[in-house]
Amino acid sequence: MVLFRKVVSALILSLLVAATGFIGSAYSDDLQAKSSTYGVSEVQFGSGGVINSCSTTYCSNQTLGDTGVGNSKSNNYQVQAGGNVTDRQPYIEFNVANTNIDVGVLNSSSTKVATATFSVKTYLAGGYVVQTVSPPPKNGSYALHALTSPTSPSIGNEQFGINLVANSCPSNAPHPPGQGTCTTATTLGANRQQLPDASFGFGYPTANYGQTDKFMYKQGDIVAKSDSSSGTTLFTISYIFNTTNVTPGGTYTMNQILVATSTF
Amino acid sequence: MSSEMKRIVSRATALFVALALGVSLTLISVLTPSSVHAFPGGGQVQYRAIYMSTSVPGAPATYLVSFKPASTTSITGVIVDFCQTSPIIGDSNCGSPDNGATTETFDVGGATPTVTFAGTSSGLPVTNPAPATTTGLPGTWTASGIDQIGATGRYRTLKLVSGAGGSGALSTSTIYSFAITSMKNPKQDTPGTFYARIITYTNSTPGSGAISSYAPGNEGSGPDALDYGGFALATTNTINITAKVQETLTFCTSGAIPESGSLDPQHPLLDPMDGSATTIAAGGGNSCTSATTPNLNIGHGTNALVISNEQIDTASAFMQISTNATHGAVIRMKAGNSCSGTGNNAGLSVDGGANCAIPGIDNTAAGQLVTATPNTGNAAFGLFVNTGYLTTGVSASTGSIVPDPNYNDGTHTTTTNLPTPLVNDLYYGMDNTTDTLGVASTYGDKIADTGDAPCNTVNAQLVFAAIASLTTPAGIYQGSENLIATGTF
Repeated sequence: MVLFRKVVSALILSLLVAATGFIGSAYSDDLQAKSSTYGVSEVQFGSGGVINSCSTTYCSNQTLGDTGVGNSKSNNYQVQAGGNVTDRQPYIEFNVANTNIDVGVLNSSSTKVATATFSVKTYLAGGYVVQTVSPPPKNGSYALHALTSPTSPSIGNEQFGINLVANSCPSNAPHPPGQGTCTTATTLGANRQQLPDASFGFGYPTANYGQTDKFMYKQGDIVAKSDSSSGTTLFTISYIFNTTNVTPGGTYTMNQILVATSTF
Repeated sequence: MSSEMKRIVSRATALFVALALGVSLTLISVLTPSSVHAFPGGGQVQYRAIYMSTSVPGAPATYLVSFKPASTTSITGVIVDFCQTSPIIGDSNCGSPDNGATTETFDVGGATPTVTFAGTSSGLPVTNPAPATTTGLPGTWTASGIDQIGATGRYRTLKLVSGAGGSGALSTSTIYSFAITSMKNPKQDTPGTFYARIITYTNSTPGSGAISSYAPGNEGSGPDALDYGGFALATTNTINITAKVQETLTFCTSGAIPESGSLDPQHPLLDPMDGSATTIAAGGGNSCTSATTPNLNIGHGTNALVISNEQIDTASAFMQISTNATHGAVIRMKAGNSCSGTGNNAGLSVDGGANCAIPGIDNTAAGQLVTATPNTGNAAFGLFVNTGYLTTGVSASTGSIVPDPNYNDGTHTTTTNLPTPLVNDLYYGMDNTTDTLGVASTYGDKIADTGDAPCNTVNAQLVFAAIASLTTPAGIYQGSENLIATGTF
């Protein structure tokens, strides 16, 4: 009996030792850090950290004493360093705002304008592109003439174009509050914003859509991109509309579809 | 053996037995997870992306799947699984991308999705670096949908199974692609991110082995399950833009103005709206805002202008028209002097139009013009409409004015001798051949149109001519001609 108790005690002790030895050594396919033969999850080598520290209304992931956090990259390699604050799966987030815009009545004596915004962020990616895949505004089968190269607005010529930078308000464009007006009396649109700042976001307009006071539009064009993983970049699209006395009458509509694609 | 020795031996025995049991249990727990958590045996595919033809939630779409394989081994199967929550290989949590949405639409194309393997020749907008083209995945492939979403006939996962021989050896330097043309985007309640996973398979019997039992978290292991990778995709809102263009018609008539320094200011001949400001003394411009009142005095003489039987006298007016009517506009002229009766067709009158002693030029049939013969001929009043011309200096000026043959026969169109043309310089008209279409009818007579097309600031000269006969009573003869433009939108 005594011997039996001793065996049981030793067995319990052995099992405890064995279980402890397996923390962090079970090989799982969804381990966060692994090689072909070894992997670990939720292990931090450092001073410490907290996962999902939450109150009833707020959660945070916290690190303490990480020696390096964030994205590091060269032309051919990039790494996400950091503790549990760094996402560990391919990810893209793409949001479009200002989804319904009425420019009002176009005429041949003034330029009408509009703006819309979208934001992109992507993790563990080689970058992203944003394409505009829709035709220009159309009235039945008739499409407003889309500018084929970066061009300044010109009253009396039929034009449709966009860019993704800050511009001055085109001459003769209305600027009091109302349909088809400039952002302010002197400005139209805005430059990209990296949120919270430029050390996190790396998106930018492509060359044809990044020229101040010049606009163009080509269906299928890439209008914005990033060459690496990027935090949030907020883009503002500026639109211009000009017509002539022979632009057919009617209602012109454009359902602009933007597609963001990340390469992982 | 002493009791002490027995005690030591019993303790050692107990410890040894326990340790052996513990090690055994530990070995079992070590071995068992390895046999459950299988994982593809190749590598992670690179430069992987899924290009969506549209990001509209719920919309039919084409997804172009592209990737660089990590292995050169010929593959006989491909799984592309679309998930709501995770792109991680081995994660059993997947779920359809719009699972739980108010209206679920996601589908790879039913049980038999459509997939093409043509590759792309115009390049893909890959960012780092940018390849020139992709190569269609080699081999012959049969596509099927697996993982039906409920009993909806919609499927979450694409399975490709090759014919005998598989894809053949692949290159790790080539980006391969295939396009799923039967996709339908998810329709999450809030447009957003969803995921996909790709696994390639190499079983020598296509369709057999690990691919046949594929499930999230049960992808299979090497060498059957080979390469793998995850993707992230996103649907988003559409930017809806509306703008209106009103139907427009701008039409005006104007008198002529003299050329600067002209010796004959009584017979001005210049169009104040045609943009030729450098030759115009005053009032020159390029639009209807420069029009002058078209009060025309026809005749010759030094002090007072008179018409006689000795010559044809003329005075010019001008018109300008702009319209975005798809089928352009028609210009009609309605005579103020009805002067009904044979030979009295909308001419010039001394009694307010009751009688026209200088009748509209006699047309015995539509389109027939009669020359006005001086000296011995009849009195007559008529109109010549010249061919239209654009406004100088207005880059957007476009279109045409096409005279009606009743007012321009295309041959007698010489205006160089104006205001006193020779007999056969110009032919004139004043069509009143039918009650319903002539200048005295309800809507007037067509004198020109814009060629069934829109136009912008197009001008035309209107030459009104008159000649008296030897028996024309003396008096002040007047007429009023009203021009009406009608657009067909």
